[in-house]
Amino acid sequence: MRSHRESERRPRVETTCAARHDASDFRVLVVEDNPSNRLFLVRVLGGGGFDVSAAEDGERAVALARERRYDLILMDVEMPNMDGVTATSIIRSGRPRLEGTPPSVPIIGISAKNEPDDRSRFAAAGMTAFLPKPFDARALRAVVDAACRRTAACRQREYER
Amino acid sequence: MTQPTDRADRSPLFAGDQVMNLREATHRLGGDEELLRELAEMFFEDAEALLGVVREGYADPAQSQEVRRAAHSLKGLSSNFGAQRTMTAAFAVEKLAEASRLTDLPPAVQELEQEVARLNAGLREAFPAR
Repeated sequence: MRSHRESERRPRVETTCAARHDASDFRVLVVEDNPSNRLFLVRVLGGGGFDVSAAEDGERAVALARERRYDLILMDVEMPNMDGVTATSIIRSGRPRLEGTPPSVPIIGISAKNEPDDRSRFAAAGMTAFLPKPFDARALRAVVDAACRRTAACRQREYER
Repeated sequence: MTQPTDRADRSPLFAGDQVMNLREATHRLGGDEELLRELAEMFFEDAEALLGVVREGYADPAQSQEVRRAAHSLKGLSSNFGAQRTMTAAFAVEKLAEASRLTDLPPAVQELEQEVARLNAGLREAFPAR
C-alpha cells in the first residue's frame, strides 16, 4: 500500500512510461555483482512497475539473454567471471545465437569509471548509453523510462505498419 | 578540528566528516526507507566477512586479488549510506592491494577497520533489530 501511494506522489518523469504504456511488459535485465547495488536496482525498477530480472555476472547475463526476451539491459562493467564489456560484445555479436533477446537490445553501461577512454571503450563494445555511478533512484528511473518510451514507440510503429 | 556548535553538527548523521548521511541516502533511494533498512541489514550480514578477507589476506601477496575485491565490495556496500569515510578507507586498501604495496597496507587496513566499526555502530543505532 505504501509503495502505491508513493508512486502517485512521484514526479511526472518517473511515471510516464508506466502510465502511458504497459511498463510490466518492458523487461529489464540488471547485471551487477555487488549484492547491495543489485538490490537497489531491482527494487527501484520493480517499484516503477517494470518486469525486472537480475544476473550477478556477465556470464549469467549472456545465458539469460539467450533464453528470454529482454527490452533493456543495465550492465555493470567490473564483475568477476565475465565483465560487462565482454558480455556486451557477446550479446551484440549474436553468437552463439540468442533465441530470446535481439542482438540490437539497448545496453546501458553502469560504472564508476567515467573517463573519456573508459566511455569510448564501453561504446566500442556496443553499449548504447552510460549511467555513471553513483546515481540515485530518480536518474535510474529517468534513463529506463526513456528507453521504455522509445521501445513503446517502436512497437506502436510496427503495429501500425 | 572545530568544536561542534549544535546537535546536528555532533550527530554522525550530519557531521561534515560523513561517517554516514542517512538523509542523503534515503533521498538517493527515492525516499524508500524500508529499502535503506534492508541495505543496512545486508551491511550487518556482509561487512564483517569482507573485512575478514582483508584482515587475513593483506600481508600475503598471493591474496591481493581477494583483498582488492573485498575492499571494493566494502566500498560499494558503504556507499549506500553516504559513508564517505568508510568509502575513502576502502578505496585506499583497494588501490594498495592492487599495487601490492604490502608495507603501506597495515595502516590503511587499520583505518578501514576503525571506519567500518564506526559505521556499523551508527547503523545499529539507526536500525535497531526488530
